[in-house]
Amino acid sequence: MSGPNPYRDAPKRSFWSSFAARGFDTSDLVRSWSPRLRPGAKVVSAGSCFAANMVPSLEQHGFEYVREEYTAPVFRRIEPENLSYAKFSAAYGNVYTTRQLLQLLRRCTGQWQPQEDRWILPDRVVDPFRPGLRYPARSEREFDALTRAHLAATRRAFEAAEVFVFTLGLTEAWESSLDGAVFPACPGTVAGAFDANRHRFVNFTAAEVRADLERAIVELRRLSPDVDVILTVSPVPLVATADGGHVLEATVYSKSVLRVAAGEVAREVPRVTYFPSYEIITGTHAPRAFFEDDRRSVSRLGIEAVMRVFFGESEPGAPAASGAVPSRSDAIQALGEQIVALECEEAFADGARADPDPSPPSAPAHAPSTQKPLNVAVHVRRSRRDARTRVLGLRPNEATVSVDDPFVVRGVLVLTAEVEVSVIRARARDGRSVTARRHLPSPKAAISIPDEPSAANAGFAVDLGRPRAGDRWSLEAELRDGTTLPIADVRFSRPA
Amino acid sequence: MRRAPPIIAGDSHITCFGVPQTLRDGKTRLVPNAHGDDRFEGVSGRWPRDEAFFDALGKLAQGRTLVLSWKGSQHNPWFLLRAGRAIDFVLAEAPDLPLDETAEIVPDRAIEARFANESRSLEATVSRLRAAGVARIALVASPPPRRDMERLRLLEFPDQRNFAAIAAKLGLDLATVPFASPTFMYKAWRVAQRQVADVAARTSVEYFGVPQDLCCDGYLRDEYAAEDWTHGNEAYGARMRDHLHEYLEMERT
Repeated sequence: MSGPNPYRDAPKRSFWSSFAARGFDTSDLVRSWSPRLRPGAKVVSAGSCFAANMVPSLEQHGFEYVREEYTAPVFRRIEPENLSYAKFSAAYGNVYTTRQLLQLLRRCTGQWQPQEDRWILPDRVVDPFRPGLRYPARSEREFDALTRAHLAATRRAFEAAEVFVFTLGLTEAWESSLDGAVFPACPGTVAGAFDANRHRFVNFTAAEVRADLERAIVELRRLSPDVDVILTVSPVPLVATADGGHVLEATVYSKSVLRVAAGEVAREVPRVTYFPSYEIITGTHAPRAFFEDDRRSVSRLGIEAVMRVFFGESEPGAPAASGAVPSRSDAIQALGEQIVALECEEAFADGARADPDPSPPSAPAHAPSTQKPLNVAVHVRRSRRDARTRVLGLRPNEATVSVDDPFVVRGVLVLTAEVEVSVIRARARDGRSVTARRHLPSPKAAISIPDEPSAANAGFAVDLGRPRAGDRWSLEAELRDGTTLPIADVRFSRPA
Repeated sequence: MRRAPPIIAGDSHITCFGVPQTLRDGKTRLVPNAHGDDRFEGVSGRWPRDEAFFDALGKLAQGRTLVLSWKGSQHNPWFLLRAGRAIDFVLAEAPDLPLDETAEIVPDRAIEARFANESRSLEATVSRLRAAGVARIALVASPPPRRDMERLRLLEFPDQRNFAAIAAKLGLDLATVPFASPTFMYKAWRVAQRQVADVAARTSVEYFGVPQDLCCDGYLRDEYAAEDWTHGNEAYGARMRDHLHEYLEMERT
């Protein structure tokens, strides 16, 4: 039976001439897209270095890129991690091969433990699966803790994934002859030592890549059953080949295998999509400027071209504003820094007070004064040795006081049940002594002391008279049992 | 003839030793010990410390013994308040210390890297002081952290700029700001001390740690803590001076 040839009703996008006529516009490359790939979706990714380049764009376009490691603020203040360890959802770094991805999934779920799992060097313990870490473990004990935490974080990331983007990078790999554990780099290159008896070269076939990929998706969906998967192939050529041939030929073989396997899996496995980043960058239509001069590194222009297509089909959200609103963690960090800086200023002030005052004697207390206000410092001096009392809410608040007005220190002494105060007084260095006005129970008795339910509060107010530069007062509480507890020092000094 | 006593100088932790952090006239000069301990003198002066201060210190301490208290609180601003998820690490010197497995476990080297700038500055300063002819330098440890972190919330400054008000300006409620665990702070302090000790070793000067009798399980004993997050009190300073005196005399003979 005859009919129209199949090309006659094919859409325009199926014809190269149409593609050329439209100026090689790649915006319609993606036909159907995961409905879950929308702003706000939790995205996890893995793959080669090209995959790492996609992450900032994902975040800028409003996707929630899952991050389970290197989240602590400390990492923002130190030399960044090497390679891609801090770029992905967990610190697995570049995952070049599908076998590596499969093994990562099995490791993080405790199904498998590689035999050659560490390389012990004199000054560090190297993770063969993350050999380039800038901050490696110092000991096996630390290595175990870090690895355990890393694999737990990896598992959490996969469990959280609503969309998983995997960029296939290589078919060539080095594996352990002990159990087939695949290393991300040949031992002896980034770290460790190459041992021909233990390390062997493999170049995976399309069938092997496809099988590994299908198994990896099964493992992933055990952790996140509804996850959608987007597969891409890295357009970055091989650094080197170990198959003895030319690197160009090896690159084309490798990328072809990966492309075939990714395409087959995307066709056969539900909710798996292939995204043609490889084609966008390496097609004959692509401008030379999509690669840097080494014709290996994808340029910013190339990455942007890929991401434009990616987001063009996936309802990009508004780019995330950068640094517009400080996060709570930034505020907490700032609070810690401010408080400690202020404390050092307090030590500074204490130091200034410890300095014998070289200024001339102040005017008599009763004389009308035209002097400038004095600095006042109230320093809590309660002895830590006696845990039965605590000083709360010592006042005044001001840092300077008028020399014309009486100066009153007000505070609350928190007392436990077995402590009874007979008197609170202030003593000056020159022998003067003032007894506090005291209220028991205090008007502030409502102060709640959660860890000391039996505590009572002794509010007090001590009038020290008109302050004079150089005056030093010590406040103390005399207890019924005859002991004396220091409460605070009050010192007046001239402004510097 | 009586030997010139050792000089204590450095940053804010010198105040508990009885050395004013600065002087009213703003000059850098030798001062007697403010707590009446004539076994030591101090050098006070320009604040914040700068190269001019250390140049002046080098001249004043020429041919003498210098006890240098270098910064020492760097673990507090960066780690005491928990910004984000809790972190923990395996301390190289004491891997048996408890590890919070629910926290983000970070490498010891990453914590150390956070203190790298201080370490470099200290090394440059020690080299400067040695070149100025200081006869003997002992780098003294800062006080260890205290165990009861939650009590820190209740502390107030002498002039009442209280912590809650500072937090409020940053949009935070101090009551809900989480503190790091005491164990973590102890480890972070140990890393900072390790770096000071390493600088001492690299520059061939001495390192003087905190004697055990001032600590309880490694933490600063309550009776030696100042009413702030960071410093030791006068009693701490007095005990440290006793230990330093004993150490410096013993080492001299």
